[in-house]
Amino acid sequence: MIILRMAAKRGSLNGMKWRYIVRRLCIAVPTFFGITLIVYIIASFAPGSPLDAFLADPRITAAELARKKTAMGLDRPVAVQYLMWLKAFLGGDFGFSFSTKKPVLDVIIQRMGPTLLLAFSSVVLSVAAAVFLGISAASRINTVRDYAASGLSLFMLSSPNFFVGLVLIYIFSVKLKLLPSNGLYDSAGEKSFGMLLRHMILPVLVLSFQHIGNWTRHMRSSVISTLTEDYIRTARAKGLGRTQTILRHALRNSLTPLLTVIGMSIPEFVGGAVITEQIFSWPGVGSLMVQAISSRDYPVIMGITVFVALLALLSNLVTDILYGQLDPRVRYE
Amino acid sequence: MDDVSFDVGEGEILGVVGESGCGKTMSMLSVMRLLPDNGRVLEGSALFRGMDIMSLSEREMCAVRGRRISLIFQDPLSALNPSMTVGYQIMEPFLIHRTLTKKEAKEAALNLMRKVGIPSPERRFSEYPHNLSGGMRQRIMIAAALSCRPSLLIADEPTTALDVSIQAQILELLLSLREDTNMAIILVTHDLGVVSEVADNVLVMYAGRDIEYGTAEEVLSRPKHPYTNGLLRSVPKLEDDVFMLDPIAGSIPRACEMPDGCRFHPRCPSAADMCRSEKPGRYPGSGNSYVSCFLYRNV
Repeated sequence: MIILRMAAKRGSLNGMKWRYIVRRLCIAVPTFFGITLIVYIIASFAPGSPLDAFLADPRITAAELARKKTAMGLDRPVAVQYLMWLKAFLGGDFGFSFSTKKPVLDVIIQRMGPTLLLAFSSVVLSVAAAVFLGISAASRINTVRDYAASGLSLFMLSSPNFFVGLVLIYIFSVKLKLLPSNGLYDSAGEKSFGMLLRHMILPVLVLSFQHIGNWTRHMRSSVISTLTEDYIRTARAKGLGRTQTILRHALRNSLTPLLTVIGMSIPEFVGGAVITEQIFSWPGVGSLMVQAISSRDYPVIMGITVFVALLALLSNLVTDILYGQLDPRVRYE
Repeated sequence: MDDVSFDVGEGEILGVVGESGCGKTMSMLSVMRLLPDNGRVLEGSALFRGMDIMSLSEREMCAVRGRRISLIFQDPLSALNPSMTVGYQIMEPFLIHRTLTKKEAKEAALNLMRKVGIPSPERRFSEYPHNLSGGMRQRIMIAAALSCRPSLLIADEPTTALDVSIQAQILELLLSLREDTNMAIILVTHDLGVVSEVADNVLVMYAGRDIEYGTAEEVLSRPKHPYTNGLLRSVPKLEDDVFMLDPIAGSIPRACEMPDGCRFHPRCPSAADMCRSEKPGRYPGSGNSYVSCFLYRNV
């Protein structure tokens, strides 16, 4: 009872919120280490070894291979290998890439920029498009507008992004020669912001495609159910027009269910951008991940895992906090 | 709904009574032209100060809603937006209908909150509906409805969701507001006690039709229509020694299976052959009163 009464006061509500955040972060710690453990085990048990790359060299001897194996620590049991990685990681050492010999942290940070740029732009585009399409459909259900928006979202939802990527490249790069299809910049010419933007259009579109379809459907059903609420009728009775009622009264309350869906898919924009980055030769974390996995480069795999796991945990926390911002009835307990 | 008609004069309180589901709320919503998507006004007119509301464009109608005619609802918790401060919800009609600055609107809203009896309005202003009690929420609804000084307030069961003690406070508030502003009030309710306390005139509805109209005194103490009679008999009275309620047998027919003739005839104790086939007209009594029952055709 005392806690409830305290929570009713504005000042201590903020206190509750901070305590909630701290508690959530504490819970996130074991989750985080659990993720790294599982990924390490799966990567180790996958067939093949980082040593396979050396076999391409016909002059390499068995003794040389054994020496390298010991030097990389691969002769020890997987559990010991993980603990060694963990010990180094806790000391801030991400290790060196097996294949390029560069420090893992440097490689990832260098790749993080393009990935975050792509992910952020795609999230913004997806939210904007889904909210717009969802509202357009929901505000006039069972009309041509609704069928068009719903049909489009179903089409987008069910188009795999490797296919969409190839189709868009064929249309806009090969046939129309309007947009570039690989990299951050053209190989020639000055690297300007405008050039970067042009290079971003297709990858962002492809990465957003399925999410727009999915989120539009969520937004549509959320707005439809919000519009049946009594307070919508109240807003209309005050003299607000249809559109204004939707924008001022329905929009915010419809966003809460969508927020959960968005929060859960944020990691997909970084970790799941693998295919999109491959198609467009985007120098990001996703394509680095593909290289690392195919060469069994454990330190790089683990480094990327750390960042994606942190991002996933963080976006879940941010989602829950935003939830409370959108809906004042939410209590942090 | 079929052929409902009623008048309200300035400063008058009209009580609209009837069982749940008889079309009270729908008639009110159709006056506001806010029927849900599956409802439509097929024909009819609503004259408001000589202006036919049914012929207004949607845009003109928006200028009437909340400014000339206001509506308050049964359940103030669901009728208030949960994610907006109550202060904003009171200010909103000002921002829609008048060109006030935010500051002026806030000042006006605080005045309204004082007027409807909300203690420490400055603090309440920035609170959300879920922080307030049921009575306070209904006061917020009333404050928002009154903000543009409407000449007609439609109160759809404003006290049904409230405690009895709070009910009395809200009714008193409505009465005093009527004194101040001389606005007309349509009070929709199924509580005959509420009607007898505050209404000047009463309209009784049954199954989508108006069946009796007259002054509150007349209708409640000398009911004519057998349905009104039954309605009054099913109210418990304290002065009776024995608590024997006399409910009306049967239940209200569904919209898809309305009986021919008088819609009440299957439940009516004095139904005659004629009632089964012909629709009764409105037969006048004293003053403006009328009753829609063949028993009074020749009176």
